[in-house]
Amino acid sequence: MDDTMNAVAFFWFPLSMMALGAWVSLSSKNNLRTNFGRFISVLGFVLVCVSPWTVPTSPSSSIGHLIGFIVGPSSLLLIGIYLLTFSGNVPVGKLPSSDRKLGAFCLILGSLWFSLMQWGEFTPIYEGSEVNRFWLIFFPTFILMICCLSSVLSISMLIIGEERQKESKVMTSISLISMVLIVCGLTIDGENISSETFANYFWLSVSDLFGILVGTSLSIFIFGFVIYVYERSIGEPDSVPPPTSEELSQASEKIALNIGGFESE
Amino acid sequence: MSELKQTLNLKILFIAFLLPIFVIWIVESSLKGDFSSFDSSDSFTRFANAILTSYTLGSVILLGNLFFYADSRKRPLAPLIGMLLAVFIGIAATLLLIGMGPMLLEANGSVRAQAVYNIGHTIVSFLAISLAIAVCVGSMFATLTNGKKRQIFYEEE
Repeated sequence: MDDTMNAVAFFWFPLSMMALGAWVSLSSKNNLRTNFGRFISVLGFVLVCVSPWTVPTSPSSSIGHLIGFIVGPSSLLLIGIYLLTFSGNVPVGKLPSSDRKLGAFCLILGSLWFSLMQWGEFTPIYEGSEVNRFWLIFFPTFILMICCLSSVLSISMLIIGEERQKESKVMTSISLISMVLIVCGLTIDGENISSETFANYFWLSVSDLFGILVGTSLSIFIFGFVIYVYERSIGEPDSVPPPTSEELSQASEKIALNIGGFESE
Repeated sequence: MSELKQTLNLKILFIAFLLPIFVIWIVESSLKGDFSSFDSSDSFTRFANAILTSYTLGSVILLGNLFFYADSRKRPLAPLIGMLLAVFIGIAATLLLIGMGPMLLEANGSVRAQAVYNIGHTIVSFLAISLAIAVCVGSMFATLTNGKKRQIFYEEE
């Protein structure tokens, strides 16, 4: 097989397996198909993660290399948030309050891990010499999105919520911390990534973010438009004839059977 | 009045989204004395590629979603054909605009290499955006559930 076919078989096909598996597991109602979808998705994920070994010649496999590197800190962040959320005042699925400390620890460790990947020795280095170029895209986009979104959520807490000043302050501080991290990236050189490289990729990620927002909105608009045009074209549904006296008496019998009951003592 | 307030709120939220970017821009310009790291040509190229790729990938995902819609509508063909057309327009526009010259090529030698790079780039960006959304929304819920327990309904006396 040539390089292109190798990349298709060992990277793009497993990547599409992940999406297909997720789709099957979410759309099906019986357990067998749901589990099959999950299995396909996990298998695709594993194959994508090992793509730097299965197709080392393909530049696309650096995405698999990146996913392998970020799966650890991302899981820590998500587990931390899960523990923090469900150890609080929730009506169902409440965890013991001691899990709050563990959640905070996971969150701090995950953030520290990401910071060390940017400024320390943990940077994803691909093929032994170069920084994985997809890491240079991932980290600025991730931190920029956290900064902007937590700013939006902070304001929305004040606009929509009532007496949510404390929660709003927490979201503002998350936005400020991520802003400080961005400014650090723009000014402080890391072990493997210079501030100049980070600055270039950061402003590209701003363009990227706006491009993605515009492109996705456009596709949603087209989707809505297609459905609107179709729904308009099918016209009014045929009206059904009024119920006969026999149907009415049958319905009143059913209703009489299902109302009433005994008073509880 | 209510509609006016809603529009105003949306504008405030939009400004809240943009504000951190402006602050970072001002801080960087003040610290470095210039704004050399922003290349308008490269940024435009990335912006255009991001629009084309996310539009095409978004349309493909929504085309898949149409199957759920079709389930409740006796599987009509018209919206499927409409959405397929939207996907083909996206693919054709991407290939045509990349093939026009160096305007949309980012250090990639051919149209195919650029198209594949665009898909990879968008997947990584989607991953970063999704993780950031999960972290932010999760943090918001964590702050909400860890506050004092509120009494929502007062008992009737």
